[in-house]
Amino acid sequence: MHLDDYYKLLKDKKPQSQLSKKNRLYDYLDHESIQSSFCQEDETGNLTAHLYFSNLECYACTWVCEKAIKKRFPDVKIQVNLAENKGKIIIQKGQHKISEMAQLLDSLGYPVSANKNFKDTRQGQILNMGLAFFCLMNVMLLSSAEYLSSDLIGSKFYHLFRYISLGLATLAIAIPAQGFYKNSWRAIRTGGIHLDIPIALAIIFSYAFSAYNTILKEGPVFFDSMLAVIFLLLVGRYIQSLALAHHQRKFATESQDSHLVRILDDNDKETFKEYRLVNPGDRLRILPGDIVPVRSRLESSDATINWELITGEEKVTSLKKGESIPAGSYNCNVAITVESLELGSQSELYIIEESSSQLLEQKGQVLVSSDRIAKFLVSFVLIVSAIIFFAHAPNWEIAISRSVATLLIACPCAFGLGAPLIISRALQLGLNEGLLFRTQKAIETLPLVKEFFFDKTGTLTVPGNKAILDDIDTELGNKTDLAKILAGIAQHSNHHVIKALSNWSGDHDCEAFSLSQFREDFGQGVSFQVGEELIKIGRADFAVANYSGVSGNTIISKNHKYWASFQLKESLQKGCTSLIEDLQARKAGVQILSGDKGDRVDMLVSRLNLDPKTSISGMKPHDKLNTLQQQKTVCAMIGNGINDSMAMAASQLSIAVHEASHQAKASSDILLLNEDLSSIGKAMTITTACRKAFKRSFRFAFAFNLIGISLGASGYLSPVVAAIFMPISSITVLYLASHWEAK
Amino acid sequence: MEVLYILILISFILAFASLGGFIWAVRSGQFEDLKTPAESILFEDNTTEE
Repeated sequence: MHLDDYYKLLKDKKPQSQLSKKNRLYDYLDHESIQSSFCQEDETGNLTAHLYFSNLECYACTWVCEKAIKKRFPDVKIQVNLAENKGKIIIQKGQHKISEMAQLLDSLGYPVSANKNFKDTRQGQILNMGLAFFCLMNVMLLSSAEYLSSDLIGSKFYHLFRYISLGLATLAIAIPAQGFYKNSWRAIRTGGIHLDIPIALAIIFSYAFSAYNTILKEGPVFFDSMLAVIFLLLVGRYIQSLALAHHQRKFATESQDSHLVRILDDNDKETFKEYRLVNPGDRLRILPGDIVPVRSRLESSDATINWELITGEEKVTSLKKGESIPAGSYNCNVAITVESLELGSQSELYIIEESSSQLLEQKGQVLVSSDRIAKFLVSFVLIVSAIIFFAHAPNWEIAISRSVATLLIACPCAFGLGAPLIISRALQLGLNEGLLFRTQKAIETLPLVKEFFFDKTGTLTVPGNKAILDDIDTELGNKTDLAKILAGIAQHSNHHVIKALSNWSGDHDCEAFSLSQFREDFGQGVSFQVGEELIKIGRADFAVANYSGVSGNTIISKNHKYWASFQLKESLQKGCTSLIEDLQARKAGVQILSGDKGDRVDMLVSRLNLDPKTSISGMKPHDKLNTLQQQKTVCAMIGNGINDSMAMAASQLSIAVHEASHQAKASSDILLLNEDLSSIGKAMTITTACRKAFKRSFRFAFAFNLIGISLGASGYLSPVVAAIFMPISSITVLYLASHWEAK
Repeated sequence: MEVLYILILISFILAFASLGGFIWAVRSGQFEDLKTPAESILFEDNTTEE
C-alpha cells in the first residue's frame, strides 16, 4: 500500500488521509509545551523536530518519506535514519506545521511519534571505545616486542616501551574507563553495591601495580590485559545500549501519546495536558475514538458512548446533555465537549494504571536474578581480596599481586556482561516474532507458567469480523453484483465491519468495481458511489430512507433502497487454535475468564475443545482480580481491556494482545505487536531457550570464578595470567550469551 | 639501533593523526547512521518534475 499511495500523491498534491478508527491526529505536535520535549530551536529560527517512524522496512520507505515531504514542502529538510527508525525534520519556525507533515507521512502508511530521547546519542560511547581500542592496539604492539624477543629484556628500549605503555594506559584509564569509577563512586556514596566496583578496583590496582613496577624497572606489568578488559567491557555495554534503545523506540511508537487530553479554555482554544493533571471543572474535548479520561458531565447536546473498555463487552449507549460519563468510556460518534467532575489523579482510570504499574514492579521476586548473584559475588570477591591483602600486609608486593589476581580473575563481568546480552538477544528474537518483552521478569517467568487465563472478547475472539449474508433483495442485484461492490471497500477503511464484508466478497472470487466519493460517518456507516448508484452500508436508519420494518446493524442500500443485510459473527483470533494446542502440548492449563454471557463462552469452549469447567462467564473486573489472586501456581493473564488490567497486574505474568487498551498495555509484561496469538507459543520457546542460555553461562561463570578465586587466593596465579584469562572468560561468556537459538 | 627513536616518533605522529581523524568523524556525526547512506546510492536523487 505504501508505494501505491506515493504515486497517487504525485498526481494529487493534496492527499486525503483515510478515515478510519486507526487514523491518528497529530495536532498536539504543534503545541509549544509538547514541542519542547522533542524539538530543538537554533539561533536562526530553525526548528528541528525529532520523530520516530513506524513501518520503515527498507530504503524505499525512507525514500518515499523524504521525497513526499520535499515535494509538498520544498523548503523543509528531512533526514530519515533507517537503521534506528527515526528521523529529523528541519523547518523554519512558524512557516509550516509539524502536524501537517506527520499527517502526510501517516497517510502514506508511516505513522510517526515524538522522539523524546533524541538527546541520547552514542557519540560518547563510540569515542570511548575508539580511544580504548587505540590504546590497546598500541600497547599490544609494544608488549608483543617484549614477549617475542628475550634480547630486549633489560635493554634501554625495554624500559622505554614500558614507559610508552604507561602513558597510553594512563590515557585509557583517565578517559574511557571513567564511567566505571563514576558508577562505583555513586554506588558507594549511596551505600549500594555495583558491578563496577570490583572492575574499577581491579583497573586501578593493576594500573598502580604496573606503574610501580615500570618506575622501579622490575617485576611484571600487564597494561595490555588491563586495556583489553576495559575495551571489551565498553563493547559489551555499547551492544547492550543499542538493544535497549531499540526497545524504547518500539514502545514509544506502540503506545503513542495516549496520555494527553485536549483542554478547552474560555475562548474554546485547545491546549494539551497530561490526563492525570486534569482538574475538576476543566472542559475537555473528546474526539471520536478517544477515551474519556475522568468522570465527567456531557456539555454537548448528545453523544454515543461505548463502555467496552470498562466492561470488556461491547455496550453502546446514547447520552444527552448534562448526563454523566464514567472514566474509561470510549467516544464513538462525533467530537464532544465534557466537563471534568474529578481530579485526573483520582480518576478510576489513573488509579487502575497506577496500581498496575506498582504491582508490575513488585512481581517476580521469587526468582533469583542475575543482578543479585552478581552483587553477592561482588561483595564476596571484595572481602576475599581484602583478607588476602591484609594477610600478606607487610609484604606489599605479594599482597598487591595476589589481591589484584583475585580481583581480576573473579571479575563478576562474566555475570554482569552475560545476563544483559542474553536479555538483549531474547528481546531481539522476540521482536522478530512480533513480541515486545517489556520487563526482564517476563523473560524469566514465562517458562515457569503453569496456568494461562484468557479474556474472551477481543483476546481469543474478534468481535463481529465474520459476515454472513442474511437476506438479499435480488431485484436490485444478485450475490455476485454485491460481491463485486464489496470487493473494493477494504482499501478505503480499517473498520472491522468493512473488513468482514470485504472478506465475505473475497470468497466469491470476482473483480472489484471501482468506487468513488468514499465517506465514513463515525458510528453510522459508510457511503460511496459506484457509477451512478449511491451505495450505503451501516445502520438501518442511516442506509435506508424508509427504515421502518428493517432491522439489523449491517444493512446495504442502493439509492436509499434496502438491498441486503448481513449478520456479523464473532470469529476466533488468528492463531488462537494453534496456541491452545501448543499450550496443551506443553501441559499448561488454559482457562477463560469472560465478562460475556454464558452461552457464548460455552460455544467458544466447545470450539476450542476445552474442558467446560475451565471457563467462567459474567465476570466483573474485580472477580477476575480475585480469581487471579487465589491462584497458588505461577499463572499468566492474557487480556485486552481496562477490565482485564487489574487482573493482569495481579498475575505473575501478563500479556496484552495487539490493539489492547492503554491500561492493559501499561500493566503488561509482554505486548503482542500483531494479532497472531500463536506468537505467545513462540514467546515460550524463546524464553525457555533464554533460560537455558542463562543457566549455561551461569554454570560457566560460576565454575570459572570458583577455580579462579581459589588459585588467586593461594598464590598459584600471577596477575598477568589472571589478566589474560579474564578477557578470555569475558569473550567465552559473550559467545555463550549471544549465540543461542530459540528451538 | 638509535633509528628506533625516530621510527617510534613517526609511528606516534601517524597513530595520533588517525586517532584525531577518528574523533573528528565521530564528532561530525559520521557514525550516527551507517545503513541509510549506504543504500541511498541505489536510488535516484531527482524527483520527476511534471
